[in-house]
Amino acid sequence: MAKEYKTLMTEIRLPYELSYGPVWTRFFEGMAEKKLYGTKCEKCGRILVPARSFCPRCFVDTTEWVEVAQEGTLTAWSYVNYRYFGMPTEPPFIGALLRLDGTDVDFVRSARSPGNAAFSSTPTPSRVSERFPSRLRISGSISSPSPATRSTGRRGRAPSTSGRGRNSRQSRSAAIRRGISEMGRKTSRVSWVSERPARSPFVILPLR
Amino acid sequence: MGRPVAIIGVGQTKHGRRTEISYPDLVREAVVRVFEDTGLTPADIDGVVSGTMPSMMEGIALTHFYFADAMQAAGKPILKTETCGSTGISIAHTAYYWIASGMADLILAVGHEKMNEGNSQATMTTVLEPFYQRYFIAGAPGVFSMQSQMWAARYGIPEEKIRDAAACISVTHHDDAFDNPYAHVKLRVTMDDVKNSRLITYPVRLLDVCPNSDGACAVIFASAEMARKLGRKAAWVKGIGYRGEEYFFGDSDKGVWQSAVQAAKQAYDQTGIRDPRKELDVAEVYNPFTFQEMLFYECFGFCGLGESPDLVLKGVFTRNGELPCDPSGGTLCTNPIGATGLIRTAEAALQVMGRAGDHQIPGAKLALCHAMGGVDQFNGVMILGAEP
Repeated sequence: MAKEYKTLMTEIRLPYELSYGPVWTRFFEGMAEKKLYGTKCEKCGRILVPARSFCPRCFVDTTEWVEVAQEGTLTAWSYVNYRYFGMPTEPPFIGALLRLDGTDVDFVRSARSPGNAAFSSTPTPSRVSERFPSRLRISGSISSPSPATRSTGRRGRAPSTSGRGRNSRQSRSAAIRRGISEMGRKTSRVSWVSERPARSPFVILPLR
Repeated sequence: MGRPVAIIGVGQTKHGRRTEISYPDLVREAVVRVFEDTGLTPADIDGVVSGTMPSMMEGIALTHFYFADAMQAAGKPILKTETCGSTGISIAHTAYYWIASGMADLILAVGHEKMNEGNSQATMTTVLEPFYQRYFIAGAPGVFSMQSQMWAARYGIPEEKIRDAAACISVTHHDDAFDNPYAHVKLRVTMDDVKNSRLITYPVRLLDVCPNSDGACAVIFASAEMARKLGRKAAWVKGIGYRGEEYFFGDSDKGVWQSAVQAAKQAYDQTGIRDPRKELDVAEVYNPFTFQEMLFYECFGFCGLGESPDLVLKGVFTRNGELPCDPSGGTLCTNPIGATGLIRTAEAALQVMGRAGDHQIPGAKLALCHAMGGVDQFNGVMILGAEP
């Protein structure tokens, strides 16, 4: 047997105090009042959300504040079913790119269907395609980030394809296989980003 | 383009889970091999470029100082290039600029990463600011799953076809890795294995994802004068391109990825390539995710937009196909991130030098290598040719 060599467990913890500046401060003040604000670039006419102090394309100051819709169309979503160290949201959850009505860029949020046990406990994609709507509405409490209170999740390892543990996963694989065949049937009717209106209200998770 | 620049030698570590070796020793393993390969010594080198993904990965800041001894950089100018996933190709570009500018004749470029020592996805989320994005994007798989969906939705490609094509890519690359002595993951898998593997971020499954690898890659770049003086077979840099996009993930279109399109176009224009699928002999496309590889084929003009799944299923991009892509097994089988882009460069160089061994594409004269980085923000391309 090959000799095992020692490893050193070490950790770095550093505090940071990041400035919001006037534009982002105002944006989060709006969030506290359950309002979403964007800024408009006078040159290209785009409404940017979250609000920006300058247009990243035209490099001019934005001058106009616009309250934007809290409803929009999904550009893309991703059903997240793995863990990494310090992950702030317990998987499974959905990361989403949302084009809020009347805006010109996509807004990054995550979503889950609260109180929906089937959705939150069984990570089969069929349920995602069936239930995930093409339009989302932001609701629930929205607050400013408070990173100091963030808990660190358990240390998660990113995927390794060493083949280790394949047997122990067989029953799970069978379950996923069933999910897949189900999905095949359902997705012949429902595309990845469905055109149907929302069946159930989805809550966009609050900013932390 | 400045002065002509050539790659005259490469050195790679055995990539994989290398807990038996310290990080500096791992870096040195690649550096020793490139000196063995070229017959040069550290005293011949004019300058050193190195790079990793963000330093949170290593837990040690300014790693080019930590590894200065392993790279024999004492007494020489040293640069660090760090662009997350595209770090390796950025290192290659930096070495290229240094020689093309006329300021150096021999540059040692080293990319390295020990992915198993830190936490890759936690590190990657630190590329995102914590005000708006960090807590909603679940590492690289989250980002690239969304990108794949944007692309698929754009062209209305049926989900089953994309799933099959991605599985096909996974099977092919895992098979290819058996012919690459340095590759990390060597697994015989079937389409069904891929499609039934554990879900990571829908639609991406375990066998659609690259591994966490420990590894390093060293490449020596030379001026034309030095390459001729040494009289060695060389791979010549024919064109390079690098492009970035806005920082916020939602600010730019990822379905047709402009930074990839423009980076490739710049490199093609410099090389004089009009029809990349016909003119290129081999491509080392940065493919940490099977679905994304197809998007790159389209952005690089290997086929029309939305056509790649059909061509993948026809075998156009396999080792016996019209344009072999990632015959080394690619990033999908080996991903020590700071090294990965430079491994693409090294593999492309070996191909046009005719030294790729068991995964050599016969008669390869023109090769593309590529890497992407940031949170879907940057793309870099380099074209290497057998002739100056």
